[in-house]
Amino acid sequence: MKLLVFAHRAEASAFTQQLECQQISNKPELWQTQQKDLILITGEGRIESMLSLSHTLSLYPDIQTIINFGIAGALSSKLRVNEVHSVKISYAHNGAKPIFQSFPLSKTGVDCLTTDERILSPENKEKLAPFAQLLDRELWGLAMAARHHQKELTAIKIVSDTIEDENFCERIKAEAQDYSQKLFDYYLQNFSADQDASSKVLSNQYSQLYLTKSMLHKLETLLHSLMIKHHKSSIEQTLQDFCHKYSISERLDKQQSLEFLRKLEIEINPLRHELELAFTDRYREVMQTGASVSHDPKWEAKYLDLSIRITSEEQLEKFKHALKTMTYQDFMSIMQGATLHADQ
Amino acid sequence: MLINKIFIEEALTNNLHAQKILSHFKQCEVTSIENYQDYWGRVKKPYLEKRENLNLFIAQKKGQLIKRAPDAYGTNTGEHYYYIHAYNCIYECEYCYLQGHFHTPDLVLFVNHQDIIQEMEKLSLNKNEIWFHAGEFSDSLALAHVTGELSLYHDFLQRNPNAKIELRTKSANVGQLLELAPLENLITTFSLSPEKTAKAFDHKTPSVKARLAAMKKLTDQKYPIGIHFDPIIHTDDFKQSYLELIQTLKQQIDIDCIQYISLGVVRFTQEVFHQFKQNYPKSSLHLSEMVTSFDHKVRYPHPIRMWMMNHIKQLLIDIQIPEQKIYLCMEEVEEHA
Repeated sequence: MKLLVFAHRAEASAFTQQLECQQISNKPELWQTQQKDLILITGEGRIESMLSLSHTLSLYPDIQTIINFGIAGALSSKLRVNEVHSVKISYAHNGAKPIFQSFPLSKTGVDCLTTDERILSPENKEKLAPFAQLLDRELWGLAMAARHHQKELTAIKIVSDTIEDENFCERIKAEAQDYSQKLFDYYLQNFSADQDASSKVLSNQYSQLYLTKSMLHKLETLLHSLMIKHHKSSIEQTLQDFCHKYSISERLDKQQSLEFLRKLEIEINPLRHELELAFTDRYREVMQTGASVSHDPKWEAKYLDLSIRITSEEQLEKFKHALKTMTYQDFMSIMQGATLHADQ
Repeated sequence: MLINKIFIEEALTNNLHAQKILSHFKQCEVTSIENYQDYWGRVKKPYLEKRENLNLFIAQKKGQLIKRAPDAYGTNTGEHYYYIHAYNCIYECEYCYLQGHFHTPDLVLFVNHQDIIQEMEKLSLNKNEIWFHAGEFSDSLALAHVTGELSLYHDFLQRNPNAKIELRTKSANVGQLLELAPLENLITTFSLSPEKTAKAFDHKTPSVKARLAAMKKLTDQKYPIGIHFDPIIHTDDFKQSYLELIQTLKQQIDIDCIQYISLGVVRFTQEVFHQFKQNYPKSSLHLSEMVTSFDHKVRYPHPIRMWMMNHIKQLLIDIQIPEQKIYLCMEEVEEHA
């Protein structure tokens, strides 16, 4: 049995809705999925989360796996909003000093610092940045409880604010559904067991594709969407039609299979793909100098991010030259939809 | 229309409008109540209960009868208000914001139209141009044959040429309107989308063909009309389907009778989006990659919205609709520029 743990209901909303959960009677913080897994809402804070998880683990000894999902602030300027990360080590800070004990959770990922108070100002974030790349309010408490009950804990965090952000609480509240959905998508791709079974069926039926476990999950999600979009009768039929469309007759290697998945993604959202192509095309010359040019990932705010690490005079000269070709007007023209054609 | 039960406020037992409404539902069980607010929306009733368990409340609107419309709601001339003559709708559009707005889908029809008109009279004093929009919380014509209030508003407009009323509808129910003389300041506006899109998302609404036929009936007799291409939803055949719709429009309608056309891309508040996902989990609209936009509403990304609106705008200009008659609805102010 899996236990999915969240601090707030809003973070869990996509899970409780899409896994068709039932609330467990007399336990307003506990939900059960159709697959008999559990969802726990602990409330905010290190102590709250520790007590709540500990109590639940005592009640349900069959729980094998605990997965914590939630939002986290970035303490590293390298992390961007909406990125999803698994946590490598859990640390804590009690406001006065860091807590000695830490909990390694995974071999890869980023570290997370749990604090007893909300850290809102960039100055305070700066002070904590040396301890970890992410900042949350609960993980350490969960890790302590899991350790006590000798259970494995995995933590998946979505970045909700950057190190420079302040006064972001309202925005985070407003976007809670989005964060929850992204975490749920991550869950489906990486943890959902019931998808494995159907994926295996697909994998057997269409053995011309090379599919890892995560690729199988992705394939099924994409095919499900395409089935709805094109009013197909089944997922198998949808896959067959798209294999035919892209002339797939022989077994593909991993790279070719990934390319096929990318084509399916574009089939679902061709406009988004067209926008990205137009953007890369407009700023290609600058990008070729080693600079990174990016836009709001949501394509909503009208700004460009430009960064470059200069390592030689020659590169700097190339960059300066390329920079002259770059206009904000080009970006605005993309933002106004002028580059879209959407010809099918 | 399938109504399960009717509740009527005691004070309205002898009200003529209430009687007219009741006469359309003779088979229904009718219960007298003191105040609709004691019952309506007091328990959470799932939105899709409207399919099989829809109740009707006949009531008096109390409190604020007319409210200031939000920015970018109507044309950019005059002051804009909306008046509340009903709550909830007999149609079932997948994107409808009513599914997340009230705690119940049950209909309320307010019958104190004279109070609303009195308020309109006050607001219209000393104004050069003032707009009153109907249809914020309900379709304004779908039940016009049942409620029978149009003549009252028609009289008000004759007395107040500075005031304008917009009746927003997805219906083809223009019979009551055709019994009244056309007025320059009574504008009936129709929400239109390509037939295939309407079939996919607008359940229980008249077909686009029927709406166009109703528009033709009005324009043939020089009734002023407006059009809302709203909500615009992207489909793979978006360009072709809007081209066909707009060409049909040109063939069938006297376009000189079109006073204005609004363009609005599908959008949801967070709460409505949440309800929409629950109510229509298999809707193809979920496949579109939507984002939380400038006002926290869920929409297509900015470039896609602008592209869709500009594309339709150009199609309209191509059929000789003057550009100044076209406006963008519920978009950022700067985008009007």
